[in-house]
Amino acid sequence: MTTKSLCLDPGVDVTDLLERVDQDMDLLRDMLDLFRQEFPKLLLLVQEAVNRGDSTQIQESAHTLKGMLAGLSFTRAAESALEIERLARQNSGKTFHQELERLENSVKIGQAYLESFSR
Amino acid sequence: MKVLLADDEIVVRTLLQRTLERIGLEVICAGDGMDAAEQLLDPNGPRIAILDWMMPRMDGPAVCRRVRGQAGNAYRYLILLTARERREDVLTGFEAGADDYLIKPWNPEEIKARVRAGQRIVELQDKLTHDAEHDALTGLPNRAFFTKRLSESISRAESNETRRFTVLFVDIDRFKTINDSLGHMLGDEVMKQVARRIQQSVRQERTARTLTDRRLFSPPEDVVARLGGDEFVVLLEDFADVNDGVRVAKHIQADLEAPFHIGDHELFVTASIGISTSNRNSAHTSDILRSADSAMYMAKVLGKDRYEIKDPSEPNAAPHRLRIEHDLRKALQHNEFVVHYQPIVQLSDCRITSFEALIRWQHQTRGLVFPGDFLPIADEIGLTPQIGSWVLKEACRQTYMWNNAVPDVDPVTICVNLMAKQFDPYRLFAEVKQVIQETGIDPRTLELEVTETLTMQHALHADEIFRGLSTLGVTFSLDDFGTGYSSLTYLQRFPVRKLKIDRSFISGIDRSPESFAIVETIVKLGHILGMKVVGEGIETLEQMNILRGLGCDLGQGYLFSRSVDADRVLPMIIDRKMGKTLKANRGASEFRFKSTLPKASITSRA
Repeated sequence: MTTKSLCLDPGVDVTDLLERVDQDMDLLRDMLDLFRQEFPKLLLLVQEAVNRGDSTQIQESAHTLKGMLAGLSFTRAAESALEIERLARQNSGKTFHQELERLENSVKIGQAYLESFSR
Repeated sequence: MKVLLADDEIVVRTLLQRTLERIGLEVICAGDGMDAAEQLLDPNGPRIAILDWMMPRMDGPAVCRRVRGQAGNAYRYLILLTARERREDVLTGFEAGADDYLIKPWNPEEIKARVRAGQRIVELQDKLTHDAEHDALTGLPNRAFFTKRLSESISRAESNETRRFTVLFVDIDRFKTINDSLGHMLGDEVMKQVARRIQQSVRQERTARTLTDRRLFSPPEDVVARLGGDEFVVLLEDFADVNDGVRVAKHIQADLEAPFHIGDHELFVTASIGISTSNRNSAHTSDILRSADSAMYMAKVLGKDRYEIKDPSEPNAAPHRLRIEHDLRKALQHNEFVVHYQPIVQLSDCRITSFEALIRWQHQTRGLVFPGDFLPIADEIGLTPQIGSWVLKEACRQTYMWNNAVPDVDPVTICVNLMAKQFDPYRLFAEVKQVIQETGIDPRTLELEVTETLTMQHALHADEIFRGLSTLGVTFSLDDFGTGYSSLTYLQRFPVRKLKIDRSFISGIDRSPESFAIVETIVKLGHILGMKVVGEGIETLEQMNILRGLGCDLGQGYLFSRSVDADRVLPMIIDRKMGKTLKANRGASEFRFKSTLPKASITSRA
């Protein structure tokens, strides 16, 4: 799937990201590789904490996840991570799964966009 | 420069790492706060750190607090990385000890700029530390650095008797002659080359020792430091045998033997060296520098260009005198003397008429030294004429300045004590005349004080001196009057304006009828001879009132003011011009001014 066929907002601030990697496409690819390995681990930590109802752990893991996503300019997914962190702080467990799903989808779209872009 | 990057999230950490490596920095990573703190607390650890706010085991602010709590290490520049919505935490971060902060997601140019700013601060900090611990002329460590390193060596030796060390105290012989004959510029050049040669000798000895040393630990680096002037010290780590110290001393002396070529001059320099080795009796270890210093003086006394050895446990009494002699010779050269001034007032209304110039020695380590503790020694080693000349010139220079700054119909007079060895009719006349010309002082505002004893012992000289200098307009007073044997004939003949009654009579005037009678007689005698009379050492209101009752003209003492440094004189002269007078102040060290009031209003203060 590419952005051309999607015609969707990829939820990634490419200008910002390219600036952060100093316009270096090799570095961008390296970072995306690393992201592919690390994102599922962090996401799992959040999901497990949600399943356990451990709001402290949800806050901490979501905060870390948000840092990673913002670092790679996944703006929309980072907003979802921030929302999860906030919900955990407010101790309202109802909408975690919905927000997690939104986050995962945003990452999928953003990742696909960036991979096609960096190829 | 090494930069520590502490973030538990690997993607962020890697991206930041690559960003910083692009500007040539060596980046070390830490995955949690505890690891970051450990690396920063290591004396050789990174000097700049970027610390994520939230980290496992210890958060960023806690790392900052931990680092700031540790004294002794070089400065660490700490940048906190915080999330955008946590900007309010920035203040907390600064309070924890952070120097700067960055907001996630970061702008790479901003992060580079902030790290570079940190680099500049660390470099400036290093330069300041270096300058504070090094001698500007030779670049060698200075006294502060040496003292710090010596304390470390002493602590090591006290906790482990195998970690012994040796101190060499090196003093260049007759260096003053080089400075005096060739000037300070060339003297400085010699000192730089001497420093290099000493350093080189010590390095070569260390290298030779390292090659034969089979032990496993390597000792801390040796230190060659310049204490000031022509004094150097060497700290030889792990040199436990005094023969090792002797070998280094001989090496230094041999290296100094070769001529120094400075400009067109070929100069020869020798050194006297004192050696002291820390012994197994750690109780005396801290005395080692003093002990090496004493040994160096012994080397000087025994003919210079040699070394002497002294154990720290040996008593140090004898060389104290040598130390003072040595320091005195250098004090003039290093401008360590200062003049303090004590006001003399009219007893009728406490108005200041003059100041007595009193020498003090601002010693590098002993602080302010009073003349009684050094003038007798200075006199024995023939330094008093030079010291006396310096005081005369300095006091005249400052008096000219004060009277010029506050012109008055009756400008203040400066009273300068003459010492016995200055009392030479030909030299003194020429010297005083030259000082008057050079400083611009009005000679009528210069009063020379000579003790009664000195005047009467050298009555013929005194007559010649007084008459000669009187032609220039200078006046005289007889100091410590009443303690010697005065000839009334001479007293009548000498053009002396004032008699200063010795403080020993003043101190007893309110208790002893004899003292009272003597003071009364001196006041009458002075007035009969047409002189003014000064009471010295007035400390109480009672003493002042008695002197007033006897018609004594002038007074000086703690009741009015202790001697003050030069900076405090001008305000006193300004107040005098404004009509204020010194207020009698019982037992106080501070003088106060008050508006001129009738006699009766001068009262005792609680």
